[in-house]
Amino acid sequence: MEKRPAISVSQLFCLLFISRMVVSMTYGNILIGDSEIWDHLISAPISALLTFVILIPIYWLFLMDKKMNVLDNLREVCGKLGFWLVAIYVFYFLIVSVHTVSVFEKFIFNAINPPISVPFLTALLLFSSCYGAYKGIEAISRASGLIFVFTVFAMIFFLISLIPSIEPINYKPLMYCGTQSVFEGIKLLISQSSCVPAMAILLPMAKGNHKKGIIIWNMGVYFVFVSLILLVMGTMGDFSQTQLFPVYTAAGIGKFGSFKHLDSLYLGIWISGIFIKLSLFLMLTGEGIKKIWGEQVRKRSILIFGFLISVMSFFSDKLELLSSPFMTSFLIWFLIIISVIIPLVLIIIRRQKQKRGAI
Amino acid sequence: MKIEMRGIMLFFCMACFLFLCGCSGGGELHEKFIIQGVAVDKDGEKYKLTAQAYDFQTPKDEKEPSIRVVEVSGATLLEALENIKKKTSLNPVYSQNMIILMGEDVAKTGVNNFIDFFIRHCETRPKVKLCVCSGAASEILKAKDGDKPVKAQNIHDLIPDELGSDVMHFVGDVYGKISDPCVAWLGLTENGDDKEITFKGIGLFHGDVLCDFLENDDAFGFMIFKSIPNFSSSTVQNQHFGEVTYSAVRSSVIVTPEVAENSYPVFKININVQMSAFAFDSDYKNEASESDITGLESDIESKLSGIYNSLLKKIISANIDALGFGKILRNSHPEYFKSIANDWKNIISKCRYDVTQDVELIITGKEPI
Repeated sequence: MEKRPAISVSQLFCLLFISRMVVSMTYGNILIGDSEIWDHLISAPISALLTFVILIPIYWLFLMDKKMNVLDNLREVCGKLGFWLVAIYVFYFLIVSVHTVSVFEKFIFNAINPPISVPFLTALLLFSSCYGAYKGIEAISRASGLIFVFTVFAMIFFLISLIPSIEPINYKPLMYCGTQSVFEGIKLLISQSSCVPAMAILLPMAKGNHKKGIIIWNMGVYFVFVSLILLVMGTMGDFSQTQLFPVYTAAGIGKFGSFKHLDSLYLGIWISGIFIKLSLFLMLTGEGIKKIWGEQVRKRSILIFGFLISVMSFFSDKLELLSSPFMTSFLIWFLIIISVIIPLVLIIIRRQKQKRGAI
Repeated sequence: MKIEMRGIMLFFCMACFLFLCGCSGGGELHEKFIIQGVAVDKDGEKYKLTAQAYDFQTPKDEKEPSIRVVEVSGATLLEALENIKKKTSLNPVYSQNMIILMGEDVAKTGVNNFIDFFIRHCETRPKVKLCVCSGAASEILKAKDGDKPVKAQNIHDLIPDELGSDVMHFVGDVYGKISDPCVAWLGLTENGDDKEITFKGIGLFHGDVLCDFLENDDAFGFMIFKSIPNFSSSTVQNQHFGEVTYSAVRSSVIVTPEVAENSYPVFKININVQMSAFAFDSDYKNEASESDITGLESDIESKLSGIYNSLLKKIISANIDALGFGKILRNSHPEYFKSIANDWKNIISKCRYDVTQDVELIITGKEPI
């Protein structure tokens, strides 16, 4: 077996935390449509529990052989079919990367509207991310450690600056308009849990207490998400529904002493997070390609995929589908297939092989 | 292979410089029209827009840039804003805008007709103060302090943050369709040859349409309801002290809605207010017993009762929910409110409002009592 790069569990979950937070920070009308963001307060703990459930097959498979990730298992257990199944993972990681780029473009175009071309900005970001992916998990996790510290400080700052602006009257009763938004919230939160399939590949690369890491990561992600909803709704109330990116708008409202207009701080952290997420998913795409065609192709594939995604970003108006309700359902089913069904099938096959003494 | 990869990397490194057009796309400060305040009025069918901005082209002194006021008009607000560039040849920047003043005419035709720009534009901020002016709003922005225009910053500072007289609260209330928005009402008062900008009271809206103003004691009572201290003062006649001027130092309001079958909701309002009496009639001889102070407290209490009743009558009879009763009812009795939500604006005048109060009087000042 090839020598794997090793990072610590804490580095791994810092990386995954940032990748997950990138989605939470752009949570708003573009992603959720007409759904009541306030009711997602109930969706969050339910989604946290569901995430634990979805993680069980991946963690179980990992426990069976701590040196092998899901791609290794596919190669070893499924033979030639394994190549095709690896390709499914590659496709998923690419879809997540394109989706992230699409959200990034929408955010930059609507919330910042810079004088420079957005696709060029995206190309620059992708180029940096390709470099990160090219350097591998150790480099990305080191960068994410630094960005994690900034993210945590920014979140604390965000919290402190917004708490005085909270108006309790803005907290309307939960499920006031029915339960539909709760279910929509669960679907959306789970569909955005792309870190779960990423774990199927990353867990063997990390050394330490994985179980503890998973629990802290998952609880932390949803705790921050719940805090964001409480802050955004408490400060902006119904106004939040007029905003495409309410968390970003709320960041602009916050005031801390003589510091105000903290949206620029938010922007810096968020773009760093986007860089980390894109690097990670391009790297994971490369890991899949490596399993099919080898190390040399992996390096080239990262550049090629980065280039293809940046070309796609020039046609971002055609990428509307990526934020449509169809995409949410598509991502959920995709996630269930690659995080639950495939790992479960692998577990069953491995068990049978173990019984026969084939492994 | 290595040379090939190095070539590719070198190409991308060079290409990076093409993307760094942010540096070339930037502008000089003197090319920008950094808007500090905006006044919107109606001019026939057109919108008349008055913008106060920093003028970096002709600075008066080195310490601070001079202020320039520009008037433009257009069929829509956006067209008027576009005309700023045509008139000044400068690029308007909205991120530093602090205040939007609406003329009475424009507010009476509906704020939704023009507010969209201030919600959507990426440079505008939700906490920009919004206020209404009796007459033309441009007059406020053009008012002078000596030979200099009054700064938008100073007009902005007149309005307390706690009032929620900003784009965010206004749009939130209009969008939420339960409570009605209210904004600060500014006006000009004659002071000799000069005109001074004053915070006159509150502009009440029905949806996005201006429908009434609150001033004097009504505005004073409104501020107590909103827990905004130190707004203006009121006077009361007292047997011992003569005419006493007092103001609210602190107030807290607890509204408890009660819902019963086959009847309209009852709102139990408990107002806890700390008043400061700071000016007494000239007849007062610096002597007062405990009972004299209690008597004054009770006079203030009865004066305040009158203020609250008059205020509630004025607001409620016009079916305006400027004090947020609808939201309170929704939060405490969601199922009941759901059944009346569509008719809430008609029901508001049929509800009962029972006000109880607890007044604590403190006597301030250097004189002994």
